[in-house]
Amino acid sequence: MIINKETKVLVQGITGKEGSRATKEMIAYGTKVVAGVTPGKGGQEVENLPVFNTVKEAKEFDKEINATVLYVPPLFVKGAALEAIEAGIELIVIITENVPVQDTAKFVELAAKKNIRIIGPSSIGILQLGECRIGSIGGANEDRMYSKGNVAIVSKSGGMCSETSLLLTQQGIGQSTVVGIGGDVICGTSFTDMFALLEKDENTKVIVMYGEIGGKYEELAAQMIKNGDVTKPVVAFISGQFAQKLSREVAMGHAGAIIEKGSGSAQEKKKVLKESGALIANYHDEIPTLVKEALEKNGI
Amino acid sequence: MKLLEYKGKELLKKLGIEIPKSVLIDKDSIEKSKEVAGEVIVKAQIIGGKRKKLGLIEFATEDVEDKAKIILAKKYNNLPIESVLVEEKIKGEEYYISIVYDTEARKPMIVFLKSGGIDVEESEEEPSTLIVSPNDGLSEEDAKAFAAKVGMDDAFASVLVKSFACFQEYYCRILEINPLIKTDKGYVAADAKITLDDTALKKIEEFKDVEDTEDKTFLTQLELDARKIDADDHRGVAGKTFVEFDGDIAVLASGGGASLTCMDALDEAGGNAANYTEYSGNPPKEKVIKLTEVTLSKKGLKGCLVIGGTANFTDIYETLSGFCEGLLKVSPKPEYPIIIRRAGPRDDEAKVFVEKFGKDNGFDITFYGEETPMTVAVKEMVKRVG
Repeated sequence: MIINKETKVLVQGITGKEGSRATKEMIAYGTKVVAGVTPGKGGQEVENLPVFNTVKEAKEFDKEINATVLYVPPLFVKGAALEAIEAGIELIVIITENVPVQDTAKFVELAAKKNIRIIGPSSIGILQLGECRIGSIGGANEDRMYSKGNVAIVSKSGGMCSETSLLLTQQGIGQSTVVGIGGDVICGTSFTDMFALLEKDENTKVIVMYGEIGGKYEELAAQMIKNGDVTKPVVAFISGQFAQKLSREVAMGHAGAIIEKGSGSAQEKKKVLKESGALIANYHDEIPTLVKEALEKNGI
Repeated sequence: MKLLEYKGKELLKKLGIEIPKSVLIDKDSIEKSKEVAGEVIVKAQIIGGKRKKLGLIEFATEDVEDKAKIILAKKYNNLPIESVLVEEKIKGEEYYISIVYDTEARKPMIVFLKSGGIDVEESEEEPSTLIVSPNDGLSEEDAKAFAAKVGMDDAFASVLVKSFACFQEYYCRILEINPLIKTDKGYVAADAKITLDDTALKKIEEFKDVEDTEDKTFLTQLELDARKIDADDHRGVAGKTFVEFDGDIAVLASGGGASLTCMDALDEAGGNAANYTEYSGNPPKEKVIKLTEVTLSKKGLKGCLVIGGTANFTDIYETLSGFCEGLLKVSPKPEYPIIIRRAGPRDDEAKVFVEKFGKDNGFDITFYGEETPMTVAVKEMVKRVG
């Protein structure tokens, strides 16, 4: 999978409140965090780790750094991501929310050219149970919610990574990989990107996806299931049927109507996913039952 | 942030796109409408569509001032119309262009329709699209090739290049020109609907001081009261998001994904929310007291749901004691069932406190913790309300 026991992690924005807290939590989980970066704070230490001014310096300190996690303010994310791309770090996890879409589009395009994986922005992080954790996923006591097993969770919502895992754990179902992909218009790693990886992952038997209204990522996931490119059972929950009522967005121009042509709504996403063969949870608490069903049906 | 038409046009003009000759007037400057001679269009400056159908756009020649006065006397969503744009009428072939982000390509996309105008949504025409690299931008060459493909000329290609430059320069989320009109002298943007990326406003000189991008046109008194709680105290969040509905179950939720999941469940179970609001980020007790008061001041409530996922930092005891204190201030005293489902720091203490509080003060409160899935608590609420 994307991360394992050997993954060597850099923390960009390590001296900030969120960055230092996450560093402590990651180390407690056993993640090999090796250094941090905060421009202008080079020479300091956080959790006994050296802090550098640039990613380049950090990479010179430890050439084996192959993942970085970003805890930098929104308008600094692009610069930080470009630095990491330039340094050739293979995995960039972006926790920061409210990153301008144009910035994301730019660094996502550049990363793709260099075969660098980006997770986020607005990701809660990624957790490989029993091996490695990058980001804030799980908070201070992840063992309260997460347990090791063979169900992968891919979620747009960060908070719901924990809630979904909790439901499964309470029913004795453990997790393999849990990842928050973020709910931005453009995300570095989408449902389909994750599905492609999880399909090949022998530790994963069932995939749970937590989708939201807007965009086309859920529809693309449905297409992938339909095409048979992911054969493992997918249990899907789509949030936002209510949010549609909540939004009083008056029709501002026609762009949405012309391009989306009715797609993007919770009903539409559920419909296409159901047609593709995914198991649909209408209530969040139905997820464990459906996962059990999927496991049994596949003789696991 | 959605821009009014005139403001959007200003941005287009800065990037070299032709816009009609016009003047912006309000009720104190109606005489300025004379600055535009001949046949004109008088357009209410509001955020929202369907202006023509609502009578907020009028054609005029001699009676410009009268038409302007009529529109300025109207209301849109119960709020007065503050300004109108008086603009020369442009004649010619009408086209549609917009630029948005395509989630699949993860890049900007240009959308073109040969038949623009107000009925564009009903059009059967399949839109032509062009994906553009956000790093390289739109080259003159690529624009010309696209224009040729869709049967348009080089001058149109030039409009595309300028529009894309505007889209990037101002960090637009949506840039729409409908109609784009072809005249003898070239293309003219006769309308502009631009939505800026709120997260990028600080990067744009003329918008960097904009703090609040919410359109207040639609807010109710309760919604305004709730927003005031956050405006007055920046510790944690309580009330910044508050939407009032017609239902009878009051909701105080916590955590973005969790609260929406619970609202979905409420909807799915056939319950009717009276409101949606959220508190998170460990707000102080006082803010939760106020939010409780505001939320439960609504008449005709039949239940109250305090719900959220497992908090990382929010002190459950502190916030729920705020909720209880708020309850005491609500008049008439809530007799309806109250269901709480919360987990996180100090939730055990909170449970003991809340249950004792309910008993001592005669409130019908049920407390669920981590052992009960959130959406199960929601279904219970709907059952209790009946």
